[in-house]
Amino acid sequence: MTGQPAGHFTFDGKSVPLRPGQSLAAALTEAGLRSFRQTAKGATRGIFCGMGVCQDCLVTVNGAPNRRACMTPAVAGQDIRTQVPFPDLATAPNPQPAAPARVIAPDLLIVGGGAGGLSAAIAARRAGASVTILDERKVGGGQYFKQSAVSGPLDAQQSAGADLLAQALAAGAELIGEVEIWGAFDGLLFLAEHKGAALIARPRAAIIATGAYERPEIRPGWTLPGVMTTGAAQTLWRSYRTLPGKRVALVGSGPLNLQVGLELAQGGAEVVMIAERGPAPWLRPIAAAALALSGPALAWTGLRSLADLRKRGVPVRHGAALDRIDAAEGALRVTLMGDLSPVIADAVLMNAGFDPQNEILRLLGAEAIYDPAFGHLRITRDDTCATTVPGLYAVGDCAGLGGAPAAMAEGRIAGRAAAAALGFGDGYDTFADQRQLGRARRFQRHLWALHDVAPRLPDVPDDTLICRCEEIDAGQIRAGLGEKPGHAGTLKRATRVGMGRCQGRYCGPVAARLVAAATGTPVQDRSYFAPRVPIKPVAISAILAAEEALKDAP
Amino acid sequence: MKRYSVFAIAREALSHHQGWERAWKSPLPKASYDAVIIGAGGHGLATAYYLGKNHGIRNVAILEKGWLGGGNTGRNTTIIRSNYLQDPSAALYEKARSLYETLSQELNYNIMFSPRGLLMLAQTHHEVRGYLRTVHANNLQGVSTKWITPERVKQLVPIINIDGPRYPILGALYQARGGTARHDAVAWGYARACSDMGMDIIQQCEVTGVRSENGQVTGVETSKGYIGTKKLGIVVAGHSGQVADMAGFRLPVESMALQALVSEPIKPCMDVVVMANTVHGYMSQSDKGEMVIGGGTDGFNNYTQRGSFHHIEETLRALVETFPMISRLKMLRQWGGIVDMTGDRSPIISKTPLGNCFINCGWGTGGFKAIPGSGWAMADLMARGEPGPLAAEFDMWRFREGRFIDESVAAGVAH
Ligand SMILES: Cc1cc2nc3c(=O)[nH]c(=O)nc-3n(C[C@H](O)[C@H](O)[C@H](O)COP(=O)(O)OP(=O)(O)OC[C@H]3O[C@@H](n4cnc5c(N)ncnc54)[C@H](O)[C@@H]3O)c2cc1C
Ligand SMILES: Cc1cc2nc3c(=O)[nH]c(=O)nc-3n(C[C@H](O)[C@H](O)[C@H](O)COP(=O)(O)OP(=O)(O)OC[C@H]3O[C@@H](n4cnc5c(N)ncnc54)[C@H](O)[C@@H]3O)c2cc1C
Ligand code: FES
Repeated sequence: MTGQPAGHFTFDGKSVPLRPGQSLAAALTEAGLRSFRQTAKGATRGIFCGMGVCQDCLVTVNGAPNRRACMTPAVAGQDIRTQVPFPDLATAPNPQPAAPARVIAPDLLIVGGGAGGLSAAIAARRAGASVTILDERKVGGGQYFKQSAVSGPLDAQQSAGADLLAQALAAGAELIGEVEIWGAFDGLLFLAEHKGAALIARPRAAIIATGAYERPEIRPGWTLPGVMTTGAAQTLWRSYRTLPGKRVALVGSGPLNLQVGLELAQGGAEVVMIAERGPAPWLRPIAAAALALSGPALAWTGLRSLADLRKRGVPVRHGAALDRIDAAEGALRVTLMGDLSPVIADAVLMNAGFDPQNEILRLLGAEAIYDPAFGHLRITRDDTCATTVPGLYAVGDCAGLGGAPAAMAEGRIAGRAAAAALGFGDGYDTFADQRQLGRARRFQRHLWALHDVAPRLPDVPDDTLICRCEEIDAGQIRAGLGEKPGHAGTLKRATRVGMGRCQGRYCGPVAARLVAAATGTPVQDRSYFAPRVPIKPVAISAILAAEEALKDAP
Repeated sequence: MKRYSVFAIAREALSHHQGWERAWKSPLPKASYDAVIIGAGGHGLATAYYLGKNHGIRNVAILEKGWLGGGNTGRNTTIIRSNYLQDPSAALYEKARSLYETLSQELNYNIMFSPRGLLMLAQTHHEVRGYLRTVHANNLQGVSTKWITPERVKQLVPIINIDGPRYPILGALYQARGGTARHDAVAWGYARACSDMGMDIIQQCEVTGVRSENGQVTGVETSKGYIGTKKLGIVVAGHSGQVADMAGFRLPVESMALQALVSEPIKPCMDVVVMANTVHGYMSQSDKGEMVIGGGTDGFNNYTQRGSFHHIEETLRALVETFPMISRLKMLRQWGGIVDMTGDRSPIISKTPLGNCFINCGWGTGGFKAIPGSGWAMADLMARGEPGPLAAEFDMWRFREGRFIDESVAAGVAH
């Protein structure tokens, strides 16, 4: 949309322009291409989460299969192909011999360079601890501060993020991007892949700040190419200045839909509808007033964006939920529940809440408690954000949804506390941070009270997919439930739900809820699939390189 | 909006079969039975099935503390073969393998037995001698195996590298009728057949004590109350020591963790099962296109410690020389189970010091392949009170008396 093409790559032989910094997913989307891969059952898929979680945007890059288009930079001259479900690896060329493994041993390792991780890094570094931050993305900043990867003016949120990043680096923290952590082990050992080479971290203490991913609306059509999470569209736009489509519809619940709807409208998209499950704030005056009192500035921003949307003629429909999405003449037809007039859009964006990325924490054995209001686990922490595992802290959304201001306050508290525990600086008076944290958490509570992100059981027809990766539909799951599985893990074995590439991140919580409902038991921390290595699919060559390096290490 | 309810789930479960129709009842326990089996894994269910089918004993309950098939039966890598060295083992495993051939028809439940052929690679001269000996032994035992050359190995397994520097392929022990089956389906198939005979499969029913009078078993304490029985079969794999304790005797078994992994799905490239005992690894390709890779055991069980994970790394490291393409794969899932191992790596199918109490355990890393034969032999033992020819050598006193059935070579790798 902005800037000139810096070259071209080919997609199935067809030339596609790219701009510097764009991801493959962004460049393909900008060229109007939405189907990136074929599934084992013959369906097509494209970008969905936009953040490396769903593993649905796979393409073959220069002969190397199963690369995530959303995490892979577009480079001129690349030969990109639709990913086939069963790539031929028997005759493929051997991978480049990877660079030697790198072993790091900082005082403090921070996983995730978002609002929480960067704040923790600054605090710990200033106290004197050596700090390394690992992030999956090339550029730090995380979801709230979403940094731009292409040239162009920054918005306020982005420049605040750029400031925070600059402060962390100025304080002397090291940030390593494009790191895929696949295993975490006792004694605090982290194994990761960094640009094809092994990265091994043996820190003295660790702060996990991996944030959250979005909860989708599981409805018929939710796996169609062109249907993506709201955050995916936000990343396309804010990081790459690529619109997800000309006409977009947003469904689900929560403030992100309104914010992104407005951002896209301002960016030139035609926002044909925002459907919000929650009732209009003016129908809930007391809740709305409580929100306004707990965070006047933020509430005011929210109100202004509603007004702005209205001024732009974007229909915001409160109390409206998605019924189904159908492919219709090269576009998508979006039907709401109890509604007879569907809208047509090129892209449908969905966000119905968040689920924490707590895999590393759970793998290391950190205790968690189920939060029924948000329908996800909250990591058990003390006042310094220390988990039940010695030397392991959790800050931000990965410990349970809390929002960016809370993540930053938690980061400052945990960063100082972790450093102090290692003998750097004193413990300090956390009063101011604790107060901010309290305020931020109060605001969040009132904010979500106005929306409707209660966890749902998928009330969908039998042929609607529940597990995107293994293509397990609701009928198969229901039949599997008929066998009375006592645990989501048993349902997994009976139906293969959760056995695919995303490691059950989308269907896992649903399976846990379904099994709990079917057995009449409450959801608990144990209801979920047990966390396992690898937390993301990992190249066997990287496992071997890590093993080699660990053998050589003392 | 329609509310989702447990009733809706139950209703839909009944109206949408898709091959997953609920196949067995989940009754409440009766006050007493002619026979009680503890453990609804493959071995326990098969025991119950042959008790009913071969011996007409149908007033039977199978007690399971979790869900049926939720133990190692549902975690293993499903290799089926019978190329063991000693006569008693070859007889037992070959009985099992031949029952597998027709099990789908017999149970009227597709267990997806796939006799695709199995190779045990010889990568040292020691192994060459060992396998040549096994081929001769197998031929005498009536088990069809043969020795094949490295060139033939390469023909059968095009992705193999037969002249690796450390572990060249010197040949292989080939069993053409070895292969794999679907693990859960084996448990479900037996479960349905047991249920059809009127047996009670009682899930979420943990046995917590064994009662006896005058040296004879009288019943079991369970989380669902006391259940009386004339005969008791203990078939609980990794928990055998615990339950034996309740029955007042000790077992010569130790527990170890065993692990396996699968890769992402790829185009079919290997239609046989390959085991490489020297390097403690084996590999097959599933019907989903995933490469299924298994390794050796390790001494303890803690999944967050790398002590456990490094066995997988070592397996991969060793296999990669023989299968260079492995380094191009991505690992998707990895899991483990606790297996019960005996000193001679052979199972125990035995009477116990307690009258009318019988035990079946010690299958270690390779009990899936034995399920039908083991159930057959155990049912025979329980029905008649004395072991038949299949079980005779596998009693628990052999360790004291030094009558080992040494299969540490044949079972040298987990499978
Ligand atoms: C898609 C999305 C969009 C959002 N947009 C907004 C918004 O516009 N406005 C708003 O107020 N709030 C938004 N939120 C919520 C807000 O971003 C969070 O509350 C806030 O960013 C929390 O900060 P954090 O530090 O906990 O996590 P994040 O800011 O999300 O940072 C987490 C970081 O960890 C990295 N990471 C995750 N897993 C790994 C791993 N295994 N290895 C290495 N690195 C890893 C990620 O790349 C990321 O940089 C959004 C959330 C999401 C998920
Ligand atoms: C990773 C792995 C790979 C393997 N690969 C192979 C292979 O390729 N080929 C092969 O032949 N074998 C293989 N095996 C071995 C095989 O899985 C086992 O030998 C076999 O499944 C044992 O079956 P089982 O019925 O005895 O045990 P299980 O299936 O474990 O059943 C025992 C049951 O007893 C129940 N139980 C325990 N205690 C109690 C109690 N107190 N009260 C009530 N119930 C109780 C348990 O819940 C369990 O369901 C593998 C094992 C593992 C772990
Ligand atoms: S869209 Fe790339 S992983 Fe989800």
